[in-house]
Amino acid sequence: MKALLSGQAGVAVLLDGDHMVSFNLDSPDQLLPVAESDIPHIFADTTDVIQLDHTSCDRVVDELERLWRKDRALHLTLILLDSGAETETRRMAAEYLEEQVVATDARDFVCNRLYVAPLPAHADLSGAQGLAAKLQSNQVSMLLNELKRDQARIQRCRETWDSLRSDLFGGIEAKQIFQQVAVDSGIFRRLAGDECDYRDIEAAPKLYIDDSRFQEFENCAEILTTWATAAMRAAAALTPAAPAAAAVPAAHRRFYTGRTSVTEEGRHLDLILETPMLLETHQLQDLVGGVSSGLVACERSEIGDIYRYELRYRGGLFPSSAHALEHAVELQLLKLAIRGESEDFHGERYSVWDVDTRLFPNCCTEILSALMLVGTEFAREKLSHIRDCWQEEVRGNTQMIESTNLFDPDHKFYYRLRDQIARRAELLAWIDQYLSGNLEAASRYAEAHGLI
Amino acid sequence: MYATFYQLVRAESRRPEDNEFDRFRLQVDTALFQHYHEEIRFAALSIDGRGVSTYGDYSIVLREVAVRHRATVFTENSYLFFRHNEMKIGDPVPAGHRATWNDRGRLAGAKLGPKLDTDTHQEDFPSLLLAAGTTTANDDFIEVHIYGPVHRKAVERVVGPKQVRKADKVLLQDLKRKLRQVGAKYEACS
Repeated sequence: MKALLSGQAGVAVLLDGDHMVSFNLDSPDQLLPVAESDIPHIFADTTDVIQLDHTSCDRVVDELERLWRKDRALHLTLILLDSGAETETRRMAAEYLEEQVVATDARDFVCNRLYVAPLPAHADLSGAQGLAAKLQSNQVSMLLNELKRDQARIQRCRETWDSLRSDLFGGIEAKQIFQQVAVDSGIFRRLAGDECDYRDIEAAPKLYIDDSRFQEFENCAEILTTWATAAMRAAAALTPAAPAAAAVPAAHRRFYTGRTSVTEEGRHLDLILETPMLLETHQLQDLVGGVSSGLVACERSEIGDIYRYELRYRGGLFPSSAHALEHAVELQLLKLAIRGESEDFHGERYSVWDVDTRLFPNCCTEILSALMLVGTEFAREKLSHIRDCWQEEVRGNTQMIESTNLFDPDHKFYYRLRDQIARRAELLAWIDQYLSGNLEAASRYAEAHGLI
Repeated sequence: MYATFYQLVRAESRRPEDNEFDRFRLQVDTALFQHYHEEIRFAALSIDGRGVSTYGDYSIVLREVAVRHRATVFTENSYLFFRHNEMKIGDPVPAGHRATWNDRGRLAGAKLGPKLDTDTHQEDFPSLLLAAGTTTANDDFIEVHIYGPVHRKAVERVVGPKQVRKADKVLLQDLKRKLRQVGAKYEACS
């Protein structure tokens, strides 16, 4: 028995010799006779019709359900992103989308399409993220966060695709057909996604040459190589090249990640939280101090590039974090230049906070954004860790202002840092409320302080 | 704008199927609408808004004011009419099977009069006027031919099934919003 199926229509036609029947996904037991001339009507305007050979009824139902789920997941995503859709409809879309994208094939189907071109200006990605976070739709949140993170890459990848000459494919129509296969197979997503590092890009053509869907394209290898190379150049323009680890002196190697350290499933959440966390904890001082002293002390320019690369890469996920991080380094450099020494003035790990408090509001925003985006147990764990670090800092800074107050006759520094510590303590209280499940009180605090 | 089959083919957004239906369709349309067959949109006369279900679960009800000055009606599916009457290329369409929009009642009376008797009730009229078959080959309805473009603002309502699945309910919710934007509404049928 053969079968024709469409998830968009939610209909399958079973062909057994001359006998043809159709059924709807909602009532698979209700078989309706079909004339051959009706088949174009049944599948009119659908674009996802597939044929199964030597199949069974059960398999057709399963496959139809799978196709339907993928199609509806895409529609729900588009509704969720649609700024013109009603809030309640978008809320429902987020809720039901979570059920669909739990399945890997539905999630891949949606992502493969969302990565073909950047979102249009009227798409409301932030609103969608907010709705998903409020509903604790973790899978949807993750999908949207990744989509937001990769928009610039998607734009570049699209531009490289558009720049490929159609004669490379054998004409405009052939290029369109190739594009469809490329979308289905996820090449756009692969080339535009964050996991695509340079080695992946170079390996991409080899990977997809074995994909049977590309077999009909004679010059598939040339196309993919040309495209991947162009995408690699575009990606390189977005992200500074990672210097070779061998070039990093042992003393500075701890600041060097080379973008290879985080590969597990939770890496995205980790990265979201890593940057703001760095801004607030000892790791920040460690990083800022290391980068600053490295830039000052290092005579070899490539080592300076390593630090700049590290700074840009870590900060690239959140522009305001990057700004704050760069600002911190500038301050530290300024301090070093004034004093002419690489030692910190206080010799303490709280040095960045002592000098300026502008990092703090940026960090609050980022932490809260991250929290809004990822209302997960993972986020709670991270937040709990941040709280512990901050508590330690508050204790340290409180002790420190008491001692430095003796050398601060007009108390300017004292008042500034005291306010800073007070605000930090407030935020710690908010985090406590959040972690203890008192979301209402946490929301009230956040709204009152303009944090969300 | 709702485009015709021929306009879609000409615009290269649709290709004719290599089947008997599409081959014969051009001949029928050319015979019925000489030199302007590309401008004709096809519909069905309906009392309750339900369409011919063999073409799909949903139907669009057009505002009468948007089409009445440019619509005619035909006794049945014109393709099947030519088949049933074994008409060939060049054969004239016999008189008595076509009427203007305002005379659609007379055409319906001429066609369906023999089916009416004392046991026929008013609630039977919708299914008499439009009887969906098991396939398009045995549908029975009065075909409406509309000349010229049909804008979305010509849509009065969309009639379709109640949605069971949650995802489809969301899609329907969004469809209703879009319909409201053009002054139309959605009507769920059982």
